[in-house]
Amino acid sequence: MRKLVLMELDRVGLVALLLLTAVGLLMAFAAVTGFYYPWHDSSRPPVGSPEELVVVLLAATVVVPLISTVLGWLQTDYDRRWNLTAYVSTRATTRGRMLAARLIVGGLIIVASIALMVLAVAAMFHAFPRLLPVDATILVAIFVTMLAAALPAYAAGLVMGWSQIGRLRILVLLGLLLVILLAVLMMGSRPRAWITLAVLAVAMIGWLHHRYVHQPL
Amino acid sequence: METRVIRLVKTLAAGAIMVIAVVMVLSLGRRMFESELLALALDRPSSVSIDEVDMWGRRYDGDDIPTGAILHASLNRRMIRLLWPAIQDAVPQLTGYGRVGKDFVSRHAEGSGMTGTEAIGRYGLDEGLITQTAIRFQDAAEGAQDREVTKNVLYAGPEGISEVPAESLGRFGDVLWRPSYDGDVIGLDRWRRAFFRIDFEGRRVDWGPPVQDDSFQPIQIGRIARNDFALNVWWETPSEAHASATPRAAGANEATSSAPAMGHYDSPVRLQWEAEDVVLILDRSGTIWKLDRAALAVVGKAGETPFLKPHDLLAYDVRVAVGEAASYQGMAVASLARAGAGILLFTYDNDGWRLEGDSYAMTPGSVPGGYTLLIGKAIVENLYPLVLAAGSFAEGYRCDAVSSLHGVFMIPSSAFASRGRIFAERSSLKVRFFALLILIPPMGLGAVLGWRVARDAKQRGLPPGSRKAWFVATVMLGLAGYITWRLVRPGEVMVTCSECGRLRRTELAVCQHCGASWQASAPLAWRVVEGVETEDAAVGQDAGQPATM
Repeated sequence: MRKLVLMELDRVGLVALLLLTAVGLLMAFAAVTGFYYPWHDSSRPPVGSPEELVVVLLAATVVVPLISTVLGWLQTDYDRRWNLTAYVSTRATTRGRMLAARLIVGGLIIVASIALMVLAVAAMFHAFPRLLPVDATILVAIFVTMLAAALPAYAAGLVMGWSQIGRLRILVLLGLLLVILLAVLMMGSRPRAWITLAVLAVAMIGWLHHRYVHQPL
Repeated sequence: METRVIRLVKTLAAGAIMVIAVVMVLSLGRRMFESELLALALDRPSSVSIDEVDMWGRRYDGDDIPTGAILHASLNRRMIRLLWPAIQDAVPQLTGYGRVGKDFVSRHAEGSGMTGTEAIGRYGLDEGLITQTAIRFQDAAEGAQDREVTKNVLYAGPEGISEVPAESLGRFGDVLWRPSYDGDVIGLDRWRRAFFRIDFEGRRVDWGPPVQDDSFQPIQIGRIARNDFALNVWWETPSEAHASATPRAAGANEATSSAPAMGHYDSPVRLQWEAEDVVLILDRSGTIWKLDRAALAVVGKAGETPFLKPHDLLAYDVRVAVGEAASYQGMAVASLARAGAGILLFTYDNDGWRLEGDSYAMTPGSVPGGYTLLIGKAIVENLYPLVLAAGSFAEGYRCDAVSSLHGVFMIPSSAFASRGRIFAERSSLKVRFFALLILIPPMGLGAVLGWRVARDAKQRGLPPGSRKAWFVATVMLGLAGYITWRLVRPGEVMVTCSECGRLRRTELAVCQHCGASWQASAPLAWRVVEGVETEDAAVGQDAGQPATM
């Protein structure tokens, strides 16, 4: 299993780097505009959550799921192009373990990116203290929503990567992404949206498992 | 080979994806129609006005011109924001002041530029103590690097106020509270069933007598409003009303020459959010009570949210009329119904009697294209799965009006929910029967799709039990069930029927279209026999059969 995980990590390192770079850029923007400037701009007392931070996190709620989709797509696409499953199947392992390794790597990259964001926000609040205690409820809700949206988007990428890129495939993928974004937009950053997205992620992984296990070599 | 369990997992996964996808898309369509209807309504004058308000016992009859004040209530265009919960969630954070989460934050700025000061107050409820955080923020003087910030925190409990959260302060129970305009906090401790006032400046906590009435269930105190940014309530004082009436009465050319002396018509009555002597309390039933600010006791009824209970209102705003000594004179209540298409405006006197009222209801016929949008919305709603439509019918009307905007699976602001309310509240069997008819379209759609699925399943050779399960699931889930069937139905091998020319199943004895059996294969013109056979005997046995060699 460890070897499988390392092999997956080796293949998706570039996308992980892309995801982390996007997160880093967004956080840097939030740090400078939301935290640094208010302390050096007399007209804006640092009270509450900086609106720049909220806007950046809302943007990340869209960006992170999109990059997660690319991550999932590339993982499966790489497998399909190089017939990796057929190759690995010659070793002492099962398809279930191969899929689990893939999901562990993808999930870890997504969780790590969001955890990095949480750490960055915490560091910003520590470095530039606010004058009033910040109500963190909305920030926590946004992070949970981001994770809840990224997981089904990642699973959608994994499912859709099994076939060659075609017009229909792209339409279906865009449709699935639209459904995920609509769930966030229409249900807000609330538990019912998280539950809906979690159900969607589990269903997609179930579908993916079925396809993967029955994929001919 | 797929096992039964794998097939079930595959079906459930596809079903869950399809139900969520179909409902999301339908919900988007529904909201677009709904918001377009609302936008059309907003393009029209969607305000309520009460002319010549004779409220609070004061009337100004100057010259021959009607000079009463005019009370208005109108929808705000930003109302549309309410339809998108994700945006609604973020708005309080972006403003940073007013009600932020569970806190109240106020801001008062003095001066400008580099020499300004700013006072920021935050009131919060933390672990049974109500805290006041007062910050004075002095901008840096010229040449100075740092700004001066002073911060004081006070903790208030049932037993008193302190600068530290000491145990001796006690702890409040389930508290309904709000800071008022003068910095005091007025609240109700539901455990102790008594009102209290916290005077942070005087460092004291006062309690009123216990509330005896157990049916008294207050939900809001002080500023009585919900989504008030969506609803504007204002009035024109007699002088303003007179000024706006004069050009219409005298003609545009004479408007400037006949402008009256404004002071002559001015009213001492003002509309405010709070009065000095009385605090308003909104009960769950919609009754608004008056709380004496000094005695901390309920002293009578102030009015009510007209016709509807608070949880059925998308927005409401209560303005207090105060007299010369800022004393309570009465109030005006504006409300916006669940569907967002009707505004009510009523005024009440000092004793809680209703004085005057008016309403504006947007009907589809009152806006161009209204019926088209309404029909579009109805079509989309009827494409909802039967199980969700029935759920909305049964429970939708119980949902809070604001929460119902977040509904995606359950649609409490739909026609199903409004008919459900009629079904629940009326006792007439005839009325109830007609209310139930609203479920016919989704049921009919589900039945048609279910019938198609069952027929297809039969052709594909599914056992009767599975066919029944698919029929019931498709009736309940509608479009989502049908698409799921198309995705997971068993594959089939088809060949062209030699009789009808259509595709027929290979594993069935007869063609499912024309009933033709398989044509028997022509026998071979040669065969293996034992021993020697004469040519005549062989020819006679195969007579009439064509040679296939």
